[in-house]
Amino acid sequence: MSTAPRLEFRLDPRAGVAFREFARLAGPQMVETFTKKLAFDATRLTVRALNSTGRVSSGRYRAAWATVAELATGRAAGSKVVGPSDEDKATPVARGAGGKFLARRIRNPAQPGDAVATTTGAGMTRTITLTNGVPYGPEVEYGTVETPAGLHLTRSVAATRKTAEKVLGAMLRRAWRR
Amino acid sequence: VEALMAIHATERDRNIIRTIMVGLATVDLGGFALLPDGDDRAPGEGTPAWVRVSVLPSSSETRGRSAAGTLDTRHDILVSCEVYRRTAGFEGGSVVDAIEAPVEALKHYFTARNLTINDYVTDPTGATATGHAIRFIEPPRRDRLPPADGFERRIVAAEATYFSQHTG
Repeated sequence: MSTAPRLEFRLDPRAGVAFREFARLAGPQMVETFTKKLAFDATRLTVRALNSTGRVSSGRYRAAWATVAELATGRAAGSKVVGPSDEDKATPVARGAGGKFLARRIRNPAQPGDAVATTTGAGMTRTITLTNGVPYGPEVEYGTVETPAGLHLTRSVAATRKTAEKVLGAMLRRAWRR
Repeated sequence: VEALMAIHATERDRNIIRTIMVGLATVDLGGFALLPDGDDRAPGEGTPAWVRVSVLPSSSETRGRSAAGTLDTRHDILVSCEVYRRTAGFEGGSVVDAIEAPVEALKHYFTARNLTINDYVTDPTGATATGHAIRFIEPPRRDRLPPADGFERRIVAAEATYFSQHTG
């Protein structure tokens, strides 16, 4: 029989049951909250990036991102929302009065159909798709022969991904310490 | 006082942009012209193919004190290379080959690349290295865009990180 120092980790089966129960009850809600937060952050950063450039003079493209972020918030899985609706038009964002996170007043608000938000998935899987349908959006993001690409959305998604990795890493480290 | 007010080479955006442009100038782009960052104009009618390079800030900066007492700032940037090639009409597979060649070269160049930041501001020859580097850790992304205004288009975007140093 070996006498070498040895350390063995084993999870008590009762703890395993508790973990599974916790994941079953709290997991889907956490996944939904986290996914919405990421989607909201990416659009918020996109709006901020567009705020810092003078390229988009009309602001409709910027307003559509703000609207789509608002649409995605609080929606249940399996929903598809197209906005801004008449109800949305009453919000400060759609009215162009600044909104929750818009640093600059929008003179040209989003038009009906500019913003589409779909949420799919169940349990531990959730997908949120936000679409900005403003006709000149591709030119702003990817550029033209005359104008360089802005890549506002691409940069925002990259920044959001980095933040998510940091947050998830910190959560894992905290869990390990416990 | 002048020494205290000196701007560190890594704090100058010009050095970052120049370092990237000088590096890209070594890539064989198959005859595609290289447009520097900040040049919003398209080349003239006589230029059939070009790559437009932009260096864009990617996220908010984070900073902290180093052990040496300097204030170091982390910068996340996105280097965008827009590849344009004029199409004169139906060219079969050759147009795809022509535009994909520089795209592949750019992707290869940006993959796991470390670019030493040189001080071009105080030494235009670029012989003075700062000891800092621009690091391309994430794999570069390539997107195929729909043709527009008679041009085939691709875009290669590469995320990178570097640290600037503030002294004084």
